[in-house]
Amino acid sequence: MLVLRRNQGQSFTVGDAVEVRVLQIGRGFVKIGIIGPREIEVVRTEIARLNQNALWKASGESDETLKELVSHLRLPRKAK
Amino acid sequence: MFPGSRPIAFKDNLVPPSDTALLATGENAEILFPEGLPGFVGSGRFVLVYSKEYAPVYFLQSASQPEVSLPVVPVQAVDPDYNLAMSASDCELLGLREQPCLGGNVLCFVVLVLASGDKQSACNLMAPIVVNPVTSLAKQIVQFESDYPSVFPLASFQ
Repeated sequence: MLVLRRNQGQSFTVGDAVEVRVLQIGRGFVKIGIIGPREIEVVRTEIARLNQNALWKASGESDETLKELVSHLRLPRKAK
Repeated sequence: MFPGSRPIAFKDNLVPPSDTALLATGENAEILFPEGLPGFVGSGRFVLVYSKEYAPVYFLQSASQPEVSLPVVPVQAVDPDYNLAMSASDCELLGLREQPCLGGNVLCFVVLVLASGDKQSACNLMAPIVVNPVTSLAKQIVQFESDYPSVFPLASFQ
């Protein structure tokens, strides 16, 4: 893994098309700005991983787990 | 609407029925993620598979990769007061002319991650999947300004 040290307001580029800028550094977080073509998709890693972890694996165990869960999930009745 | 699709049909057009079902047609509906679904490369074409057996859970299944199938549930089943926020560009992407309204002009689902090992079942409230049933366009939209967690344990539901 390439490691860069950047300060607030500084940036770096990835290839020719994408610039990544450090907008703000706070306690335990950094705010990042990304400048690049719209067709290049930017995805939060944890969202992609969660989707992959959610893949349905057809098995008796999954089936039982889901059935138990849905027995407790109810859509609220619409107010009349 | 993208080629080959048809609108997601509701009873009373866009108004969800008054009982517990949000999509009461019992039919599958094809939807398109123009920007794709995070975590999965390839086509953004998916099918919302209705299963009476697991209602109100649906399966979001890739049209090109049948093995890619995610259980999703209308967010109202987890949080009836869920506050959905969308940017103007996201509204434009889905073909929405007005602000999103749950149970009105949009469908909103959260992805379920089922219990496995010592991890309990959870859902992703931070990034719901929003569908415009008129255009059949969808996007997983991160709620930037909210405190909704990406892993919301569903222990209290069991």
